[in-house]
Amino acid sequence: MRNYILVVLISLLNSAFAQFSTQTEFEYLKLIHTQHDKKLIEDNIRNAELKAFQIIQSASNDAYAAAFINELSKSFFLLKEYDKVMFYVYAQRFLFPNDTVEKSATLQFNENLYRLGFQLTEIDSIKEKMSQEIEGKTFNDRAVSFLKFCIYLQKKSLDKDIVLWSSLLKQRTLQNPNWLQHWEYLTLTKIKVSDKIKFIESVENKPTPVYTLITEQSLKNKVYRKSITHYLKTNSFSQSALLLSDYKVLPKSLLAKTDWYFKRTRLFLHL
Amino acid sequence: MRLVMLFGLLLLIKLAIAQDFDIYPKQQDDKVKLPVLHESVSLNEFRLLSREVRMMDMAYAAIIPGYVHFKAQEKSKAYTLLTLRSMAYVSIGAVYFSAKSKGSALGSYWYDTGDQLGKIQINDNYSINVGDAVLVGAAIVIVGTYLYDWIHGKYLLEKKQEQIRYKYAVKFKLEQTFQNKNTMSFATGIQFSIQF
Repeated sequence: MRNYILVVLISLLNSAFAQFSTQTEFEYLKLIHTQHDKKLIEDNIRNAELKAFQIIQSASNDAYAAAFINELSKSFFLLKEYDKVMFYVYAQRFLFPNDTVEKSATLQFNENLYRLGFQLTEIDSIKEKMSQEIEGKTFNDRAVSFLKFCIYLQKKSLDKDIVLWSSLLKQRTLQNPNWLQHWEYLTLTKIKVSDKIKFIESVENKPTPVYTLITEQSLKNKVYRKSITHYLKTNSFSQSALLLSDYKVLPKSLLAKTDWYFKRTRLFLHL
Repeated sequence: MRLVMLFGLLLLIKLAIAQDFDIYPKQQDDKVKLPVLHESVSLNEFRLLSREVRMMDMAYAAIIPGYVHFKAQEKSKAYTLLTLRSMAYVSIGAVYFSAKSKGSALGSYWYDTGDQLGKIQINDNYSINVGDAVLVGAAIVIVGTYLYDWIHGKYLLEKKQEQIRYKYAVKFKLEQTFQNKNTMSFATGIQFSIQF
């Protein structure tokens, strides 16, 4: 009898500390979507996103992975967060391609791109490019393409997610492509989305620091300025000093020169 | 009359020696009992689950505006209540000091500003002082924000707790069902065993 109780206890503890399976999370998402309760959906977002991170980290072959990610995109659709819908729709299509799931979500895919301001011809071109990037490629290659497509949506609200997923990807590939590392750096230094896109399109895929690669003077100054501010904020004074001396020789406006003196004083006072 | 006084005295003694004036006192010490949590439960969810609005909080809510909403992790609403009630207190203070400055001349009540702040004409025969109107308005805001904080805050906290309990209860049930399905196998066969 004692042994029986022990076995029951161990099995209970085992289930108590186990992570919920993808199937459970998927079925729960389906259940709450039918109820249309926004608070309930919002409350589950954290758990569902953690599960999504876990799936991508393990590059899971779980049969429910594609369906789960697609269902998660529906959560954001019901919450009217269309940028995030597209993020997870891309995640499903690039990382866990599944014809059945995709066909059932075609209407949502098109509808969402319309909402984000795309036209029919652009949507067709996106679909064509997507199929080129997916077919015959490895998981890691598809993951890089996924991030590139997300970046090209040009949504500031997705920056945090792209940086996070990029770091998850780094754990698998050990090193991300140089352009992606540059993009991460520019995000960290709070450069505008449109400037980042301009930079990625113009720059070569070199491993050298971003500010040395930029040719356009105004953008170069902006990156220097924001980088110095970032390093001063993080108390990286030697790096700030290095960038300040490089930035000193660049041609600048009167306002930018005043800003340079202000930053140098800040560095001198270690503020 | 004596009986009422005796009852009042007993009530005062009871309140004086009581550590908590809750109607339903706690029977166990939650701080000693360690909860068994699923790893998916966040600290915020745990905080919400372990909180409850008790009689004691009614007094706290009277002192700190928005207290129950802070407890229910509804910061924006809590800060709004805090601002509204603070403004009401400031208005009362303004009326008081305004009356005090003319206090000697009027010499009646502390809130009597006379027509120093002007008058609101309702009709030909009736008008009210602005000072009185501000006082009544401030009193309504103070009582209103207190009641809203107490009733709505309690409702929100309970709603959030229900959502968390619902979420994990359903997930646990689903998980158990799928685990049982995966481990279950039906096969007919014969088993021989030799015992010594």
